[in-house]
Amino acid sequence: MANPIAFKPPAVDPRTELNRRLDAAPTEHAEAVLVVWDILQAAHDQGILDAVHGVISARDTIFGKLADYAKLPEGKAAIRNLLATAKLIGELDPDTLDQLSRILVSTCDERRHQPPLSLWQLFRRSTNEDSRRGLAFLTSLLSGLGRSLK
Amino acid sequence: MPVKKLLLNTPPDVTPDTTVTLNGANVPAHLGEPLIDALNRHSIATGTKQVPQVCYLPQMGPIQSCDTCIVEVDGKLVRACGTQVASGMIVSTESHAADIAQREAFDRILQNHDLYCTVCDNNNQNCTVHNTTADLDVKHQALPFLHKPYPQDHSNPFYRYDPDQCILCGRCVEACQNVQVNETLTINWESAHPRVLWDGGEKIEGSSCVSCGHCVTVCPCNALMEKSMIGHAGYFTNLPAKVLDDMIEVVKAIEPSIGYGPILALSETEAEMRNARVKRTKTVCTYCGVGCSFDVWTRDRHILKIEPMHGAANGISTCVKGKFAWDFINSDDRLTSPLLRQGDTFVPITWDEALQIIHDKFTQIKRDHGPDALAFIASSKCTNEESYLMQKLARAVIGTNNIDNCSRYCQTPASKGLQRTVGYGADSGSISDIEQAALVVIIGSNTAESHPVLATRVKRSHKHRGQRLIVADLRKHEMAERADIFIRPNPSTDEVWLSTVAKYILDNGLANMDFIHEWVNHFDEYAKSLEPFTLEYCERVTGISADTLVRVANEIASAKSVCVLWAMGVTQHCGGADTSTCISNLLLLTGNYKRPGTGAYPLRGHNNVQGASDFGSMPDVYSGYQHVDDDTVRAKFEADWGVTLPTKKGFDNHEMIEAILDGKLKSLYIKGEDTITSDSNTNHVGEALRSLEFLIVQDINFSETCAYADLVLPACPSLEKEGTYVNTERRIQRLYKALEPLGHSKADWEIIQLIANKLRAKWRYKHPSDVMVEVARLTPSLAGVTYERLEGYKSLQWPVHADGTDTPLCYVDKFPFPDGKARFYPLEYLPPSEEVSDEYDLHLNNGRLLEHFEQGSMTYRSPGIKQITPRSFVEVSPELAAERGITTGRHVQLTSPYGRVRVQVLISDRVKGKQLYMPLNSVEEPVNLLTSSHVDRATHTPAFKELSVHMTLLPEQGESPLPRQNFRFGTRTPQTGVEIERKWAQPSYRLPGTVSGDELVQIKSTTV
Repeated sequence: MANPIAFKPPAVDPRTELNRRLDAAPTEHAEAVLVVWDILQAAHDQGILDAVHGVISARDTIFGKLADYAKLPEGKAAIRNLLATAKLIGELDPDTLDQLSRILVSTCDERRHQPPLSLWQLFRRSTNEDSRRGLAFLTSLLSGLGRSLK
Repeated sequence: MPVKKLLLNTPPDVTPDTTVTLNGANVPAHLGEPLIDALNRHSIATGTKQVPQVCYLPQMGPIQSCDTCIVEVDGKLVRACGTQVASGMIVSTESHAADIAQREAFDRILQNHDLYCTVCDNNNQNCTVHNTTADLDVKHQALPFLHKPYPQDHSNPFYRYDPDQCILCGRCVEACQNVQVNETLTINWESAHPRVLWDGGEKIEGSSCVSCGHCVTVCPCNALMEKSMIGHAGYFTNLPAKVLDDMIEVVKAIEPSIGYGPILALSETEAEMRNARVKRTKTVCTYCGVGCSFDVWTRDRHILKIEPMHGAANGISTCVKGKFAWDFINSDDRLTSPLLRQGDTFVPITWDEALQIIHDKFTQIKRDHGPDALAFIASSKCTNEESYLMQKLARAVIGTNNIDNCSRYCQTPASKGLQRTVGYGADSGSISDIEQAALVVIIGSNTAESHPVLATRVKRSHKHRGQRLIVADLRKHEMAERADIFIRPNPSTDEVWLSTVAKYILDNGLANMDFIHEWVNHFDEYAKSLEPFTLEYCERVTGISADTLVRVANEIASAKSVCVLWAMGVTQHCGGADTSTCISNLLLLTGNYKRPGTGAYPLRGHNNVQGASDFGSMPDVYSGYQHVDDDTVRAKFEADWGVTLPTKKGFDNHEMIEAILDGKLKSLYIKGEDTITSDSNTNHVGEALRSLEFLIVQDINFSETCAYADLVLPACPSLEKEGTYVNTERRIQRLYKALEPLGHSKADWEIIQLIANKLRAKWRYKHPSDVMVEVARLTPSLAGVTYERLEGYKSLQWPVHADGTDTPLCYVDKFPFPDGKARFYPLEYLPPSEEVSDEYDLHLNNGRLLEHFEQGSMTYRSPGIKQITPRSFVEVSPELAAERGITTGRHVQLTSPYGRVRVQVLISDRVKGKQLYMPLNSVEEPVNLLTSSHVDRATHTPAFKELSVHMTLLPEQGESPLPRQNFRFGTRTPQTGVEIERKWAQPSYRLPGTVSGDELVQIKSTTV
């Protein structure tokens, strides 16, 4: 006579399932596991693991602090400025910037070893075509700046 | 005149019959179809960009709320979704005016929705708002985001609504009003801050919301979301709320500098990363027999959500169980290793030990008492392949035909009725036929709660397509409330009113004699059998007035096409098979077979109760209903299996119980069924189970029946295995493995094979598809079934010919009898086995609830379900409550000749007079403690519904057994839909792109 037995099976332990997978992992992923061990050892030797551990543990706090600072007016301005700078750099013609940097270097070198020009010499230089092109560029830039300050 | 809505299971005819000029090119289209459908087809065919469309979902049809699909037709701006294709249309989707209008429309949407995709749980590459922002290459909003003055609503256990993110597209309202047709959701367009309302109010809890999940499924953003997604789907979405808010604020601040491009790129990267850990697996629901299929999203073992979209039976539809009640998969009391009875407890053992015990006991019992001393019960929850292997184990390995399944408790009488008259014991057509029918007759079925998704098709056609609805039931449930004619025959008298209606039709020349002469035999005998069923006799027996009977008869006779749906209210009687036969006779009399929109539809109660029988887990037939006593058939199976097979029919479930008590049956192996709570007369069944020499119970949880077992085997639920199910419309569908088996549990087919091989069977199935190959080889009606033909969302409806041609509608050419004709089956009415008496003065009806499945083995493991419906109850009519001085919450004892239960009262006008209703959802006080061992005369299905009881009032008075938040306390707010005309009538509304200011928006929105 098999009378009914009130019985509650033991609660499922999720670790059992994970342990099973863990036991099977070394053979399933042998090659990758060996590389990971090497990486882990190197990261541990260098103290990187400890640092990463700290960062992960403090994830919410770190994100919170970053967001806190970022949302300050200065933070927002800094990010926008950074983005604007990045945009400027991204949009400038690299050849122009390259030329500019070369001219800057050579002019600085040249001026360092020579006495300053006289007023007449400056006037004469400003009348040649290259100087006029440079002045036009600078005055355009100044006009734009002035317009944006209105 | 109601708007005619699309059919949900019947694809619209889009055969090209005209052309439109689209951006200068000729494009084929179908007259009258929504223009947007023709545009979308063209875009897909040519690989070109689609017109933006936020509110349009093809399955639901046009809503016309978002305005993003505006195009130019013959020089005028119109919504493509709300414009029907006409011959010679000149359409421009790329004109300057259309572009301005589309961008202005979408800008208005973004005013209602904060784009914070990277930290949004809905950032899964399928968010319509996100994708449209990207498709339109929106760089900046012209209209800033505006907060709405409402908090998030988390009051529903399964989903939450965030008004702040709601774009007011109306998809959820359309789904609620016209797909689910629960009519709970509306939008208050006249408000200064419109939002979605539940029953006209701002709280979900306590409304009529049935948590079907339609609204969540169709929401194009994150306004409505599954709670199981929140904080789980994304990499950053589980950060503290304040951190998320701060991060969103920063992103919004820098957006003017960089535009949406980089921000969307970041969120798209995060979405792509989610694919590494979120798995989407197609599966089939394991609750009722409708056969809803959908993708289940999992992250490790966490179920993120159920996403329906492509299922042949359900499309975008689900019910509360299929959408939300999957917690049983991970319940902490899952069986994870075999358990052996030892003294007064169970101890875990290894599979090797379990198999050895089974080998020893089966061998000993077979040796001592013969193979027929062993019996097997297959499961309607398991796959077809598992049902096939279970009967093969019984027949080919043990040598007995003692094999059955739980259709014996429910729908075998319906199968018998149809086999007697038209041939196949199954639905004669598809759900698409039901939705197309001119008239639907529902008998003894609480369809809206027991087959919720199928009911939506009837409710939609009834609301919007002029379908007529007749309901015959003891209770005034939702379908009865919606019916054009609702009749309440006395218990167990359906056969009488059906026969009377048939006689009236015949006597008044309303029968379809042409159909009968061509397609039906035995007319004269049938006509004679109807003679006793006069209107007067019927009035006396059923309590239905003659006038009503005549109305019903005329409705049925005059309808162009009729489908009859029935369930346990018909079958679970001593005359269950006869009443089912009677229904089929009536359909034959009126010519309602062979045509679309007609036929007989016994609604299968379990996900695979149809398949369990189709694949041979029955005592008299192999797979495909091939009889065991047919020498040719048996020889075929013997040759294939390499064994000698038993020749005589085996015991069915009912006979097994009696055979145990008679000492003939010594061993029972039950797979995936809680027999002690499912079979009638629990005390009687318990006595039998106690008497067994060896009982194996195989299940996913420790069921009530497990308590009687000698050996308990841990099986896998559907999400942990592969296989196929057959739904109520004979549709075979594949399910795929979403999760690994938990602990040492195994798929049922693997367990059966292990047992068979321990008994030296040498089976070599490596995958369920190997089983299907064998089934197809041996079964003419399944000859063309292959896993390749069932891949993904593809499905087949049997009979399936060898070339893969399937059968959505049966009997189109002929009936499967030798002369190709159907058969009238004359009947004689016999009164029920139990009637009310002085001692047992109340009739007790019983059945399902929407939110629980059967006794709640799966659904009670869902905290949300338990929250809204925590316990069982008995419904008492207001008049009986007044007579006995009872209020809701009163504890009572119900006593029948077979047992007693204690339960709380719920006063409800669903029941009337001295009729009670008790749901099945209890294993502590199961209604089957009260039911008898009376059975259907033809099939031995228990007469669960023939039950009289005595009610004793107990002194305890408690709270209502149903909490206030249960949907039954809500009050629906029916509308024709989202009522978009009310939005258009607002003074602030104008069609986008129609004033010059809109162009400025365009300039802003495309400039960095």
